[in-house]
Formats: sequence, C-alpha cells, structure tokens
Amino acid sequence: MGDEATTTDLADEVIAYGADVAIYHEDERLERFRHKPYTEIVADMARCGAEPPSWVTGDPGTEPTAEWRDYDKPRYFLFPATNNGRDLSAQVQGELDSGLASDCSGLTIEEELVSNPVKTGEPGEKVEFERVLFMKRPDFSGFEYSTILCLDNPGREFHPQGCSVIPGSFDPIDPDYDREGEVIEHDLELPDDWFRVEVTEFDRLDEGVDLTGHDVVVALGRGIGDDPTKGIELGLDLVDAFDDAALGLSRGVVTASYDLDGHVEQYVAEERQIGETGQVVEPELYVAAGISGAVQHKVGMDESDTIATINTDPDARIRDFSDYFIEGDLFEVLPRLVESVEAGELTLQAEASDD
Amino acid sequence: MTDDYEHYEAVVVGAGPGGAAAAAALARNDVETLVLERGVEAGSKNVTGGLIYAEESAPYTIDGLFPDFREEATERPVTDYYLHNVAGDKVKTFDITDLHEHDTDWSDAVLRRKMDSWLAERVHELTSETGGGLLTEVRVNGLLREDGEITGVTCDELDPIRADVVIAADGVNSELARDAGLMDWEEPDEWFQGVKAVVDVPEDVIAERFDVGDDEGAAHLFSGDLFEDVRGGGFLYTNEDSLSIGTVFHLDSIVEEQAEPQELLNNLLTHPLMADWLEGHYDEVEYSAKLVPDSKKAAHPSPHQGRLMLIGDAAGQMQAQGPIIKGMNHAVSAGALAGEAFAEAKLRDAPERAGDLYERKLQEEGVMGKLRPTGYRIASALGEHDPVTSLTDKVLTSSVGRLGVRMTGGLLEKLYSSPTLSQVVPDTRTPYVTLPTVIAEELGERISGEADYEPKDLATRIGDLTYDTDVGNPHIELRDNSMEASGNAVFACPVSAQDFGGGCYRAEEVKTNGSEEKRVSLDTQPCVECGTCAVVADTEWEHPRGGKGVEFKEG
Amino acid sequence: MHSVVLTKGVPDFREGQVSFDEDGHLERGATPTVMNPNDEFALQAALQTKVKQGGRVSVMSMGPPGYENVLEEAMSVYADDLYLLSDREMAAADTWSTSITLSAGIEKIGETEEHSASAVTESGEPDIIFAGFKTADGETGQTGPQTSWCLDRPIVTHVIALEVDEDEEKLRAKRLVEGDVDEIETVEAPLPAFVVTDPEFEPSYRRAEHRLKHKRFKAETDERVENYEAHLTTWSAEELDLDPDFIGLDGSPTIVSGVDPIPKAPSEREATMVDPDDAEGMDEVLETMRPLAGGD
Ligand SMILES: Cc1cc2nc3c(=O)[nH]c(=O)nc-3n(C[C@H](O)[C@H](O)[C@H](O)COP(=O)(O)OP(=O)(O)OC[C@H]3O[C@@H](n4cnc5c(N)ncnc54)[C@H](O)[C@@H]3O)c2cc1C
Ligand SMILES: Cc1cc2nc3c(=O)[nH]c(=O)nc-3n(C[C@H](O)[C@H](O)[C@H](O)COP(=O)(O)OP(=O)(O)OC[C@H]3O[C@@H](n4cnc5c(N)ncnc54)[C@H](O)[C@@H]3O)c2cc1C
Ligand code: SF4
Repeated sequence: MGDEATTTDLADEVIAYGADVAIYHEDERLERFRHKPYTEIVADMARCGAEPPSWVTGDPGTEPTAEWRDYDKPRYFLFPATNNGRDLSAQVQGELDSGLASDCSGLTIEEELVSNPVKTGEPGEKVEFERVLFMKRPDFSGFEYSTILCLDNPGREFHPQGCSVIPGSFDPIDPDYDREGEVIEHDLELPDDWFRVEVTEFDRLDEGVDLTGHDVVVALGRGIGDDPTKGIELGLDLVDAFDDAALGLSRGVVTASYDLDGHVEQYVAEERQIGETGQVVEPELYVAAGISGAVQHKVGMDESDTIATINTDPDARIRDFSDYFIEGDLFEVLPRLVESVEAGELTLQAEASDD
Repeated sequence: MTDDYEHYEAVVVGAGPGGAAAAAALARNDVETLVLERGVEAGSKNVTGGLIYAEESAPYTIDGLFPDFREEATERPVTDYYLHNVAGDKVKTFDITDLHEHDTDWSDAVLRRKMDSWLAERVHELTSETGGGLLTEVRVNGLLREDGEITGVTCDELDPIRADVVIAADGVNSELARDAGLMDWEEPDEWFQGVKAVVDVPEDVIAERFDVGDDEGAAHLFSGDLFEDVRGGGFLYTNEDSLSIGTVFHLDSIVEEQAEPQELLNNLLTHPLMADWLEGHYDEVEYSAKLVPDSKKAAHPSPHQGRLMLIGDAAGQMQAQGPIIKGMNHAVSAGALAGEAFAEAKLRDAPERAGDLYERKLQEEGVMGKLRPTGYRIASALGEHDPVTSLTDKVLTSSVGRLGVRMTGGLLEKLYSSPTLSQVVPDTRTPYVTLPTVIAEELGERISGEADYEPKDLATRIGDLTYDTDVGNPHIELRDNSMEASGNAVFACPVSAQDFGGGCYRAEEVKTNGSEEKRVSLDTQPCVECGTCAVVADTEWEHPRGGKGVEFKEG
Repeated sequence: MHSVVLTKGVPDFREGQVSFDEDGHLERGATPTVMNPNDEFALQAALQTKVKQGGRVSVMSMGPPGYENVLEEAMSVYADDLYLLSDREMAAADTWSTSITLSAGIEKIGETEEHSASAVTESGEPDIIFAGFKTADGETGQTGPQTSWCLDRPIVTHVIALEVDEDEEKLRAKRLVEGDVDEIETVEAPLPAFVVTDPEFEPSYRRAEHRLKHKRFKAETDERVENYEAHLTTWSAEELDLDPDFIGLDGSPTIVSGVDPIPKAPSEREATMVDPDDAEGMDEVLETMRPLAGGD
C-alpha cells in the first residue's frame, strides 16, 4: 500500500524476493501509514471482497456467520514488527476475527496434538491440528520465550494465523529479478472518513550509530591515551577482522581531549559510548581494551556472553566481570589478536573451500 | 506571545533555608509567591556541614518562622562543643562550648535533604494560600529583562515569568547574582570549599562513643597538621543515627598547596581520634561538596538591583566565625528581611523601594555587622601578608613561642572561646595550622587509635551517588583546556584527582607534532555541582537543568 | 474531557522482586503483581489532559478480584475513579478477547448516566481512551489498537507528546515511528479518539500554573488512594452483556503452547588470567574469537 512512489517497484521486488503473487493498492492518500485505511485495505485483500459482520455496530456477542468467511483466505499472515506494522497486524487480525503473536523471532509449521478443551471441544480428548504455525517470541520482559498457536475453536474459526516478525530475525533470500510472479492491483473505494487522522508533519530522526545487535563489540578505554590515534586504528582493525562487529568506547575516551588524526576523529563521539548513559549492548563477545570497568560502564556490557579484557593493571575492576583477562599493553596485544583472528578467518575459508 | 506571560507578585528562586524564610515572610504578608527550586526535591542539591543556629540577636530564626522545625526537621541539638588541636597523633582538646553558646538560643545538627524537603512542604502550604506555591525541577536560567529593567525570570522548563520582585535565594554560585553583575566567580580567596561524608552509625553506638543522651549531641572540630599546610579545619557532628564528617578549607589554599580534597577528608577520617569513634562502623553513605562564600570578603554590601534582591549564599552572606560556620541562620534572617521589605514597600505603594529597604534592614538588624565585621579589616590588614605570617609562625615554633604556649595553656582555651577574637582571626596559616600544631605538640596527649577501615576511593564514592545525567547537554564547558588556565581543577575538584580517569577533570598528555603537551579534559557526569571549577578553572559554568545532575539523599 | 486509561497488572520483573523456578520459569505465585510500567505514561498523558483541559480521569482494567491493588497503584499516579471488569469467564483471555471485553466496558460508561462525563461525544462515551504500549509480560502491544478497532475510534499510537484542543474537538500528537528509518510524525485526530502512549512519552507543562495544578491533583489522588474502594466500580460479564464465547479463554484465538527460559549471561564471572606471551593461554581466548571471524 502506498502512493505511486512507494508501490511502483515494490511489487516486482517482493516477487524477486520469493513472492508468487503481489497485491498492491495505490492511492495518493496512502503515502503515510494511517491505521484505518491500511487496516481496511489489508483486511479486504485477505477477504477478497467478502462481507464481514460489523464488530463495531454489531450487538454485543454477535456471532459471525459462516458465509463471511467464505473468501480466498490466506492461511498465515505475517507482518513486520515495526511500530506501524505491529499496529496494523493487531487491527487486521481483529477485523478478521482472528489472533496473532507479536514480535516473533522463530516460526515453524508443524502438526500439533492439542488437548486444550476449548480448542478440542471435548475435555480429555486430543485432536490433531494440521499445519499449525508455531510462533516463538521473547516475552516476560526478555526472561522467557513463549510459543503461541492460533487455533480454531469448534464453533468459531480463527484464521488466518497471524504474527508480526522482528525485522532481521530471518536471513533474506537472495533476490532473483528474473523470477516471474503475478501482480494484482487491488480495487476498493476509500471513503474520506477513513482519513480522519491527518499526518501534518514528519521528520527523520538522527539515527546515530547503533551498537546493539552485533556479534562482537570491540570497546576502547583511556588505555589508548599514549597514542589515541593508533589505539583507535587498532580497535578498528579488530572490528574489521570479525564478521559482524562494531566499535564502542568508554565515556573516558568520549570526553578526552585527545588530538586525533582526521581519519579516526569521527569515531570518537558520544554515539559510540557504552554504559549507563550510553548504549547497552549484549553481544556474543565483548572485547574491552584499556577500560578500567567503572560501574557506569559495566551496566552497559555485563550481559555480554563472553567478555575478554586487555589491561595492564591486573587489579582493574573490570577483572571482576571478565571471562578472560589478558594482562598486557593493548598496543601490543591488539595487533596480535587482529592477526590471529584474521588467520582464523583464513583457515575457516580454507576449510570451506576444501569441501 | 509575550502578553501570555504568567505573573506572580513575588518569585523566589531556590528553596534552601534562605528561600524558605523569604517565601514564608512574603506569604505571611499575603504576597502572591511562587518558589522555584531546581532539585527533584528541595534539599536534593544541598550540602551543609550541619549546625543551624538560632541566634539570640537575630531578627528572625528558623523555628520562629516554621514552628515544629526542631521536632520535625533537625537531628540533634549540640550540647558539647570541642576543638581538637592536632599534631600527628598528639591531640590537645579545648572545650569551647562557651563560644558555641554565645548569643545562641539553640543550635541543632541538620541533614539538608530532610530539612529542606520538610521546609518546602510548609512553604508550599503557605504560598498556595496566596495563589502561588512551590515547584521543584525548575531551573531558573536568567533574569527576564524588558526595556532594560529586570521584570522577572526565565527558566529552562517554563516560559518566562514576570514578577514584581525576584528574590535570588539560589545559593552559592548564584546564576542570578552573576547575571545581574552583582557577584563574580573570580577570586579563590573569597571562598571556602566544604567536603563532607555522611557515615551511618547506629544510635546506641553514637550515644556510647560520644557520651550523649537522646536529646544531646556533640560537635568536634579539628585543626593542626592533619591537613598538611592547607588552611582550614575539620568537623564532626552527630546526627540521629549518622555522623557528618567533613572539612572546610580556604579555596585559595587548596589551589596553592595543590591539595586533593578527598585525601584531606581521608586524613580526617583515619585520624586516631576518628578511628576510635568509627571502629567497626565506617559505613560511608554519601560523599558531597559545595563552595561556601566567605562573607568577610564576599558579602555584597548592597545586594539588590531593580526588582532583584539577593539573599543568603547568593549574596555571600556566609560567616566563618573562627571554627564556627554560620550560613544557614544568616540566610534565614536575610530572606525574611527581604520578604518583609517587599511587603512593606508594597504597602507603601512603592515596591521599587524594596531593595533599599532590605539593605537598610540588613544594617539595622546587625546582620551586615556580623558578615563584615570591622575588626577583621584591621586585623587582616596587619596579619595576612606573607612576611608577617612567616614571622609569627617562626616565633610560635621557636622555643620562646613554645614556652609561651605552654605557659598560657589554660588561657589559650579561653582565648579560643572569645567570640570577638574568633570573628577576626586572619586567614593565614598561623591560626589554622601553626598554632594548633604547636599547641598539640606542647600540650597534647598521644592518642593510640588506628583505623580498622580504609576510606572509600573516589570511584566508589562517585558510584554510590545518584545521578540523572542530562545526556548530551553538559552543564559546564571548558573554555580553555590548557594546564595553566584549568589545571587546578584536576586536584581541586572534589571528584577528580591526579591519575584518576573517572573524575570530572583529568590531565592528559597530548602529542602534537612531535611535542608533548599536558592538557585538561572534562566529563561533567560525576560532577557534584560544588562550584569549585567555576572559580579555579576557565569554564562556562551553569547548573544542570531542573531535576538533572547529582541527587543527594542526605545533604 | 473525560479520559479513560486502560491498565493491566503484570509480574514485577524488577530485580529482587521477580522469582524463577529451577528450570528458569517465572514463578507467578512468588512474584508480586504490579501495574504494567508502561501504563504510567498513559496515566500521565491523561493527567496532562485534565490539568490543561479539566475533566475527569478514569482507570479501567480487566482482571481477577484482588486486582484492586493494581488499580490502587494506578490511582497513586492519578485517577478520579476506577473500573474493574472482573469475571471468571474473562480469565485467560488473549488480546482479542480482552479488547472485546474492554470495549464493552467503555461503551457501558457511555451508556450509564452516572458514569458518563464526556465533553464532546454524542454517545456519552469517554472523549479519549488512553493505553500504554506493550505489557511487561505479554509484550504484544496489540490490546490498544484492537480495543480501538472494536470501538471504531481514530487511533494515534506511539505518542510521545500530546496537546488536546477541546474547542476544536481534536488532538495533536507527536508519534514515534520506528521502522526502516526512524521518524517523528505530527498528527491531528478528531475527538473522540484513542491514544496509545510510547514509553518515550513526556508530559509538557510550560506554565507554572499548570505545574501547580498538577501538584494539587497529585496530592488529591494521594488522598483518594487511601480509600480507593469508594471510587471503584466492578462490572461482571453479565453486567456488560457479554457473550461467554467471546471472552476469556473461550474467546481467544491463540493459546500458549510452551514457555522456555531465555538463557542469561552469567551473573558472576571468574576471569581466566592470560599472559599475552603464553601461546596456550592466548589460544584459549582465540577459540572464542575465531568462530566470529569475518568469512567474506
Ligand atoms: C561543608 C559545609 C559545611 C557548612 N557548615 C555550616 C554550618 O555548620 N552551619 C551553617 O549555618 N552553615 C554551614 N554551611 C553553609 C550553609 O550550608 C549555607 O550558607 C546555606 O546553605 C546557604 O543557604 P541558602 O538558602 O542561601 O542557599 P542554599 O542552601 O544553597 O539553597 C539554594 C537553593 O537554590 C537552588 N537553586 C540554585 N540555583 C537555582 C536555579 N538556577 N534555579 C532554581 N533553583 C536554584 C538550590 O538547588 C538550592 O536548593 C556549610 C556549608 C558547607 C558546604
Ligand atoms: C553518572 C555517570 C554516568 C557515567 N556513564 C558512563 C557510561 O555510560 N559509560 C562509561 O564508559 N562511563 C561512564 N561514566 C564514567 C565512568 O565512571 C568512568 O569514568 C569511565 O568509564 C572510565 O573510562 P575508562 O575505563 O576508559 O578510563 P580509566 O578509568 O582511566 O581506565 C583506563 C584503564 O586503562 C588501563 N590501561 C592504561 N594503559 C593501558 C595500556 N597501554 N594497555 C592496556 N590497558 C591500559 C588502565 O589500567 C585502566 O584500567 C559515568 C560516570 C558517571 C558519574
Ligand atoms: S566539576 Fe566543578 S562543579 Fe563539578 S564537582 Fe568538580 S569542581 Fe565541583
């Protein structure tokens, strides 16, 4: 959905990325997301024009009649778990009288033997449901994964099975622009009344550097003080040696009065600070070079899986929350790590090309 | 838009004792009063040593303005007052309770978070009656001027507010006094720096170790060689279930000696006397600091301009009477006098005369006389020149001087208790360091205690504090990061130290085109807003926005 | 303006409060229930509306008996009165059946004269419904949009700043749009409306007068909270005229089929000391690094 500018190439693109059919709706008024028209259009696409009962005016307890579901129904409905995508998913699934799980990070389709009497109709009985979408999602404030199923009741069908998916949870397919698919323009009258919420302005936010979500964070502290430019260079070298790493800094470096050479200057900025008043990261590996481990720094990184530290002072506080403490000068240790990791990379590649 | 500005008859900036007193006086006179305080709660930004005085000769006292003050807002009355002259582990103790009691109706130890927040509730009740009230988390950032006249205040959090009178009770480093050009932050010798640790000690342990009952409390002062050569002294006051232990030094002396304030405090904390008192109970819960103006030099003789009146620390009205420090009580007097002055001027339909009236009241009520005693000017003219100091010091430390000290032992205690003399002691090494040291050496007894604890290091002290950092919006900026201009802050800042990377000010070696240069860098996050670097370094200095920055729980 | 704030109780996930069994599963019984933290922003938005426009703030929640303490907590932020929709039939609801229940509660406020306090609606329904974003347990963020859908209201979600104009019968809000690019949108919506606040929501009071009023309202609600039962209305499914098949577990399309703990970083670490000149020691460190090395 969108105005001409947004929809033009999108249909072709989704086909290149694996879609067999792409349905689009184009209208100038759809330039920006608005709950009502977007929901109505998507629900209508799903129903292929079948008339739904009204959830709005319907008397409390209106039972949806069977016919309105008589449409070319999708079995699963996936939305992106962005701010707007999540809203849309909730309202569309509501309009279709079905359920959904939000912010999923894992999806599988399996058979499931269900004993829940609400779903089977008969206490004590087990019923097999086919092609059930298992929607795995982190919840309980990140303490637990739950797996959600959306299943019909005996007297009430709940479909499509819906969910929103955390962007980046699945690797995209390599696009194939030669792929063929069907492109359908969707047709629906959009009453003005649907556009009652008006977007009067919008501004892009300064995004800055996002240090979260990387496999590795290499963080530098005031230990680079003897030669800050060199220190940053070494940190960047190590970042490059990893597949997916980012450069972080302690507050001490961010607020230092170093004279840095032009090519590394841009890296010393508040947006790279890790800690209480910076970003909080939990990478698989956190490399802390020349960082003493002040509590305010600790809270930004101590949920990392593995913490490897390089410090000349074996009594530095960071030792208390490191897994490995390399007691040494970062100017000597970092280059060796870079070398070894790069070498490791070579062996990996070598192995890969062996078979 | 400007016609939309709010208007209150009186705006009081700051809810310390001065602001509270001013607001109470205004509200009692039916003046519509708005009080603006930058802390999350009144008291959360404030530090004092601890003793609030009600002077017999004062025009106003805090309990006069706020009945129940002593029951609700204070810790313990001071019933014993001692001065310890220290030389190494030798100590000679004088009982100077007489000096303490001179002109004193009562005097209680206080912790500012508790005291100020209690006062603020009363102030809010009183001022609400007038159509105003007290708001926290609002920082006034300047004076509103229209057609060149002061007509109100501007704030970070609120649109400009007009007022018929603005009372700046915003404490030391008053941004309003600076904005009006009435005060500057240039000369270190106009200030003291106070540093304090609050140590939790159970009530029964206090009773036993300080020999005080339920409604009693002790004050202990320290001077001599435990602070190296830095001019100033230490204090310990008993609270209900904690101790306030701190130091107050001349800022110029800290700079001269390149002293580390936290180390001087540690010297005090680990002194044998302290070791006995704190044994098994060194549970330091809060580290804090604040500048204190020296009224003898800083009190503004005419603290008003147009509709603006300055009171309390904002006007430099902080009196160091020898070892006794009197700031809060004078802030209370001045605040109430300023409020009274405005109410009277308004009654006479001449609100613009409030400032002059206030100035006259300060004189007539004797407040100014205490803040700027005439005797001091004569004594300091004689006594503060270096050659004179060295000469006195030489005589004192010579065998002749020492003999004198021995012979006059009992007399000395009396001399120390003299209120007139204590008002005018010159600011030199002699009374602070040399004399007490000689006294202790000649007359003192050896104390054998040894601390079974280590004072907390700076990183821990900072880590224990509560901050709400205004990320990306530092309230202090270095104008000049050379060592000459700002290097003093590296040691003088109470949360910085040489070779400590976690402080506000840090000295760094910077290599520029081959040559090495030492430079200063600044991170305002650990700042406790004491004001020191506003004076000793070249900075653009402001307080943080309302509610931001450090939050003291004790104060 | 009559505002209704929707709120929900959740386990208190703060350290020291939350407790887990040996397998790492949440122990509901041993973990206290508190108001969903994100709902505080919704309450603040409603309070701001009251400070600037006058009117009333009601809080509504669906929950079991005993949920009153969640409402009590909401009232300590701000509420003039409280509504609890409570019935055995409503238990174990997912977001869709919750939304159906809540919307029935809202409609009932409009229908009953003694509860209705609307400034602009014809139906007597509250002028603005507020909800917080995501609960700390379910974390779906769906209930707001779905309840709004049931009520057919204009909705503005992820609101970080809000101004209400009663005369013009509309609201103006800034909303945070996170997606491929992050944006801030300014939107206008007619009243009655539905507002979902973002955790970044900040009330704005630029006038001392408003802050003083805010302080007075806070003091009043603090007093009310002492005796909150006097301000509480409880409605059952029957009183709301709800079909049991459409609420609670029976009315829920989704079920939870399994819960697995998410592995946490170790709370205590014992550092292995490594001498950089000791090849063996360094190798151990490199073991952890090599799998993450760049491959392409
Ligand atoms: C270590 C130490 C020991 C001391 N010992 C004693 C003692 O024993 N006895 C004694 O009487 N005095 C003592 N003093 C001095 C005493 O604390 C002060 O003189 C006294 O607090 C001054 O009161 P005040 O009301 O003028 O200012 P403050 O108490 O400093 O109050 C100023 C208020 O204004 C607020 N404020 C500041 N700027 C703004 C702004 N821009 N906008 C809004 N609000 C603002 C502050 O948050 C604060 O609440 C000591 C001081 C120190 C540091
Ligand atoms: C309210 C507040 C919020 C804060 N927020 C943050 C925050 O979000 N993030 C943050 O990081 N900090 C924060 N801080 C600052 C924090 O307290 C520390 O000051 C800061 O993290 C120190 O940085 P550092 O470890 O790089 O420097 P230092 O503490 O100076 O440590 C440098 C370390 O490097 C080592 N070293 C020196 N030379 C070498 C060498 N050649 N090779 C190897 N090691 C060497 C030293 O042994 C030392 O351990 C905050 C502070 C406050 C008060
Ligand atoms: S930075 Fe300045 S104001 Fe802050 S604590 Fe240090 S000296 Fe005091």
